[in-house]
Amino acid sequence: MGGVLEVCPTCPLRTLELALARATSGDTIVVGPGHYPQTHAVITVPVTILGKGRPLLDGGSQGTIITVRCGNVHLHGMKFANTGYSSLEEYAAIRLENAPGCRIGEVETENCAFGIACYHSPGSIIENATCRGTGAVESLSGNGVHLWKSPGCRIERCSVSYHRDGLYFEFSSGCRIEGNESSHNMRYGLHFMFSDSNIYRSNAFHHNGAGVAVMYSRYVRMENNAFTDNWGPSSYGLLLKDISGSIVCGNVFEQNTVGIYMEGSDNTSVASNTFRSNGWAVKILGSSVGVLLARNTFIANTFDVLSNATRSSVRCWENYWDHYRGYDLDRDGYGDIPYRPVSLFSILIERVPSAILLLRSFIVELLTYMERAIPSIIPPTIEDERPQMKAPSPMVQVTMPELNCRRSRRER
Amino acid sequence: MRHTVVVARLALLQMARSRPMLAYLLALGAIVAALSLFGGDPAKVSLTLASLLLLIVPLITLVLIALQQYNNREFVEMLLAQPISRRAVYWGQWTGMTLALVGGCTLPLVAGYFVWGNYDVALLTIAGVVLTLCFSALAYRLAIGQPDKARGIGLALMVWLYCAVLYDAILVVAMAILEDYPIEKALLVLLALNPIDAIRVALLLHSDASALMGITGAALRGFFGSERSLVVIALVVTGWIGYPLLRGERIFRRRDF
Repeated sequence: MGGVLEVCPTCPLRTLELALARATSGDTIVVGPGHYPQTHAVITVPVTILGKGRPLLDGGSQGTIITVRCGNVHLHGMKFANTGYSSLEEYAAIRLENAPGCRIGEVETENCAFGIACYHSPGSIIENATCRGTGAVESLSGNGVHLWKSPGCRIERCSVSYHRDGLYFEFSSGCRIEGNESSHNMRYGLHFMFSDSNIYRSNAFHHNGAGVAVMYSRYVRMENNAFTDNWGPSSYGLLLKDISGSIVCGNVFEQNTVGIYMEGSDNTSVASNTFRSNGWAVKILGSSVGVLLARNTFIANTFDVLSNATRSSVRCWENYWDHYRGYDLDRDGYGDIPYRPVSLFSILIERVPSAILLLRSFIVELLTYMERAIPSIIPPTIEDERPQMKAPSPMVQVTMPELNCRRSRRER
Repeated sequence: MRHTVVVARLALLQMARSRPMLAYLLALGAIVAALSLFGGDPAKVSLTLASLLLLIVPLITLVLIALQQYNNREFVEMLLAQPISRRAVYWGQWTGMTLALVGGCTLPLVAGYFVWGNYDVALLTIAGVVLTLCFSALAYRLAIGQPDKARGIGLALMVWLYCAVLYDAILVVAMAILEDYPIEKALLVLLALNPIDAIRVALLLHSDASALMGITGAALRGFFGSERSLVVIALVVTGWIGYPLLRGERIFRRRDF
């Protein structure tokens, strides 16, 4: 067992830096309540730092507050503020460098360029952190939680807002991201690239500048998340680019300009999600192949699906479409005639973007109804052969997503 | 001026008491009630109501004004035999009938709002009033210029069909053919030239749907989303009201009854 060092504004050890200079491996440093201006500490031995009564460590706009350069460091119960911004260096409240297996809990960062930044620090755990950024312009701020080449991390129950990107992962595979809330970020609520086999579960992403964008990754699972209120000319609930072998399941997409935008993605299933009041619920473009759209619920979207994909590359079944006007004579709960979610007007918009100005014009509505009644003009791109007649109860979607996900995988 | 007011009052009362007017009032009231009760959330109700208003108000206005003008022919001739200027008769008739129709479209909207209160009443009422003014001016001009009743009503219906349906259909076809050309600005001008489209685009830009417009929307909003857009739309609409009325006045003053 290591020793205990106490830090407080009136103690012999007035600053964290003084305590760290004395600390040896395994020590615990208790930081008492108070304000610690101009803190720029570097941790080089595995210690535990506990905050008592929420001490405030202030960077005085001069740079990173705590830099961790060794593994197994625990940080708990502190508040960080004012890192300032540099265009040369990434100033962060907590910066992990080559520090595997660290644990950061109950910390709060405010007005920091980067909240918690991890570089080459696999297996770190970040939980119950609150990061509130500067809310400045995109080019003068950083990410809330930033992971670079740090596989196997866990990020749980964090709340990130007013940063550039809320949660950012690059080259960080096998992470689990659960129960976080990311909102009001200038760019993306969640942004990851080259991060395979990550699991995102029960997170909420809302009011982000451009929603959520994920790219160049494989075997990603996104379950039970809520993507809401990402409304703007270049906003997406969820943007998937070059994603393969992934599952998007049991999520709720509400009030987004585009619910899911998919480009160059393959072998990805989108199942048991609820799309409500989006501009476009799903856009599947580019060379997406092997996409499955199953058992989703589409309600009150301006356009359900827009796709230039061929029928063989996007399979679609047992969804509920509120625009479906078919009948169910054999009473098995599924419509007897297929539903084509791609409307003529949305194809026209794709070719001539300014055609959107005719939205809600009588003739356009008429064309859409005509096309639904006598499907002859548009080539059959996507067809739901077994559309559900009734919307699945929201309770089923919310309480049994695992079951729904598994079922849709099996059916595949 | 005093004579204009007297004529307007008579025309207003006559119009307000006519049976088609009552039917219009009741029909709009029924639509508002049905949508408010079963329409779901306010945004959706406003939206559906706007689409319906854009169709119904021009049609009813065109037909009712033309019909009333033809039915009132003897009355107008009688008025002209009195020591009243032709100008007073012309403007009084139009003002009276139009006021009745404006009432017929705003009353259900405002009353429905006070009872259920789940739609954007200000925007819809403005749209309704502007549409009524535009198309009553057009119908009045048609009825004054065309002495034959059947032809006049037929023309009014054609105007509606053209503005509400054909115009957009032509635009859709033109867009499909000219997709490779930069047609955005031309499209905008063409949309502003049709009062129904101008008002529809104005409503679109003031609703959430503007975000669906992507780059088009961004380009548009610089121009259309600002106060300037309101000025432009107001100018276009004033043109649509003013020009037919002034033309009609010239015809009316020279016409031999």
